[in-house]
Amino acid sequence: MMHCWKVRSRLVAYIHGELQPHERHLVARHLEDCETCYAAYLQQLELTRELEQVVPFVGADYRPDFKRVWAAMQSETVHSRSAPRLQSLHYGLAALIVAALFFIPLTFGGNEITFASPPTQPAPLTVRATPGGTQPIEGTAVAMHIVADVTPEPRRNLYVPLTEANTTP
Amino acid sequence: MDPQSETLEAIINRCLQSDQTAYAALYESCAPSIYRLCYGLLMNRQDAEDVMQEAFVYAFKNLHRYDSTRSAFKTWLYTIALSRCRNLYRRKRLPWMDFASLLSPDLPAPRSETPESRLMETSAKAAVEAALAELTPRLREAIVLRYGHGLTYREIAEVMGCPQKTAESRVRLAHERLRGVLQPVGPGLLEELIGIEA
Repeated sequence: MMHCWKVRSRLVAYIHGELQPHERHLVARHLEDCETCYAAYLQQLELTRELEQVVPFVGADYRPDFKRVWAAMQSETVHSRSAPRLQSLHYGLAALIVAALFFIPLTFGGNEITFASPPTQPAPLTVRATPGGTQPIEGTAVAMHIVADVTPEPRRNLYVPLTEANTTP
Repeated sequence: MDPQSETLEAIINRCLQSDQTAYAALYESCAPSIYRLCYGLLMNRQDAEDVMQEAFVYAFKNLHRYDSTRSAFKTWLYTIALSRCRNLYRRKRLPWMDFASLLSPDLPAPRSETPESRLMETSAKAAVEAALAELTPRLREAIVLRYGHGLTYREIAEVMGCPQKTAESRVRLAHERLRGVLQPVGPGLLEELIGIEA
């Protein structure tokens, strides 16, 4: 004899004819004896009939249009043919860039990779004119000499005016 | 093997030989049911059409992978369509329902054409469809496959990718939910439908 809770859990499958013969027989016998379960069975049966009448009509008004699907299939086929080439090109390019980034420092510097020293504070500039027998162009400096070893000192006027004495080497 | 499935097999064989008319025939025979499945799950015309197209394109391109010894062609097609539907409603949750399209004037005309009967019929259908939309996607899948397409629990399990017991309990749970949702409409809903049909 089956319990009511067990029968209730099998009612839908019973209505759908999805139970094994032995279990089906047990449920049927229980429904004959139990009025509460029989009432539940009737409710489920009513709902089943209702759904069987309505659900098949949900979205039943569709008219197939093969051309649309065929066109989509053709365009996808063309796309998938060209896509691998393009994709492999992208991968190849990316691999080339990575390789270049890795090998270029080794190529230029041999095995010794030297790093540039950090820049020092720029020293003040002194401009000296060295005519050297040529005609200086008006308004431009002829030569520039960078004095790099100037230690920070109290500020002074580093500009040396052009005179006869300081232009001779 | 019944004659219909034999015909379908012959059509598939012609498709594999790149016969475009065979593809058209296969589409014509399967598209209405695949659309009903997609629409029943997505409850939106445009989405259903897009998903159906996507499913057919995939199926046609992978037709050589179909193994008739493992499952029926329709089951295979349902599996593809269902997975596409799942992809879509994972991306966008069903935020609304197109009631206007549900109460479509294109549905088959009822036998009785009086305004009262039409009103009753549309209200009954709308009630059931709105109740379907209230279900979770998994429960709706089980109900649509069972009632919309007449699949057995074993076939439902195959399409949904779950054990048969799970398919059975999903159908049962969906029944419980639908009973709860449809009860406020009244016990005379079925009588309305039967009255219209008579």
